[in-house]
Amino acid sequence: LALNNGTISYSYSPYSGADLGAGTIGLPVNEFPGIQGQANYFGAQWIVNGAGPVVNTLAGLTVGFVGVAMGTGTLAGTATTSGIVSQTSGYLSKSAARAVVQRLATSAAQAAAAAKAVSRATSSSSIEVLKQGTDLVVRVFRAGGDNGHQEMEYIIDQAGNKQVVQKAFSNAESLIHYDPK
Amino acid sequence: MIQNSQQNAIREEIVRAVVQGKLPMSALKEAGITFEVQENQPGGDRQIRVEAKAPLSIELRPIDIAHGLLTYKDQPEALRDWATFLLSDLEVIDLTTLESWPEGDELLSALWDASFEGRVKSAGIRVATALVDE
Repeated sequence: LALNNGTISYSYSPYSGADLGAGTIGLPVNEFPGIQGQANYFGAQWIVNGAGPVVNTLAGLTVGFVGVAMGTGTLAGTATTSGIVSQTSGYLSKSAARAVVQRLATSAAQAAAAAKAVSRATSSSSIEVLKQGTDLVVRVFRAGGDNGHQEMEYIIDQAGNKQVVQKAFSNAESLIHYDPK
Repeated sequence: MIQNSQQNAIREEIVRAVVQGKLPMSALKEAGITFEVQENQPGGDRQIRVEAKAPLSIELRPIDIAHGLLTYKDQPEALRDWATFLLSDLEVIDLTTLESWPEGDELLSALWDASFEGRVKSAGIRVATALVDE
């Protein structure tokens, strides 16, 4: 797996594919190739800065801005990208998130901390796991009391060091936090 | 080694007492744990810093969390800080075992409510009370 600024390359057996073409997509923001036990599972997402949802068809696999594409096709090759904004992933259950963590973690310390982050999710939570450089990011979401949602973001480096950010969003996606004062 | 083991046992006892609400959050310093919450603007993101001076991992039991919930349920600010610590500390606080308990998910939900909203719903209080009364 290589996820670089402006360039993505995949090399997951049995996946293979063609050059995606220059300038056709934004930064590939996440991918779940070959989650253990789910060999046909593949997801990828892209965001282009300010351009809203972007849909790309890659080797027969249609990938949208939201959601995790499922398929047995292949995604491979390289793509020149533009409009780098952020990295995200599809929403996962706890078990799927744990599988992704094991797949993407580059050290035991990082994997252990990320698994603990996943354990903070409730049965109604959804989870994103993504890689930003060498950091592993786990975002746990939960519906909030005002029809918005709550988020705990855990950023874990290779040594297992963590940064934690707590966010609460209203239904209108504005940040809110209960202030007991 | 023995000394480290003893020190860790003491640290664990302190942290568990904090979780149970028997010691204040400030006692975490005695266990070598730094916990800070920074909010740059009202309603904005809350940056949470948790550091342990030495490795320590404590598997919490539902009863530990139940005691804490009941201790802080009527103190919104203290409840919020306490729950935020439990959700944020990936080094010391191990919540994985909650998943194997029937009460675990309700307690996790109560922690989220407490951390984000400074309150606990009645369902969480009922579960915590039942655990403590057992």
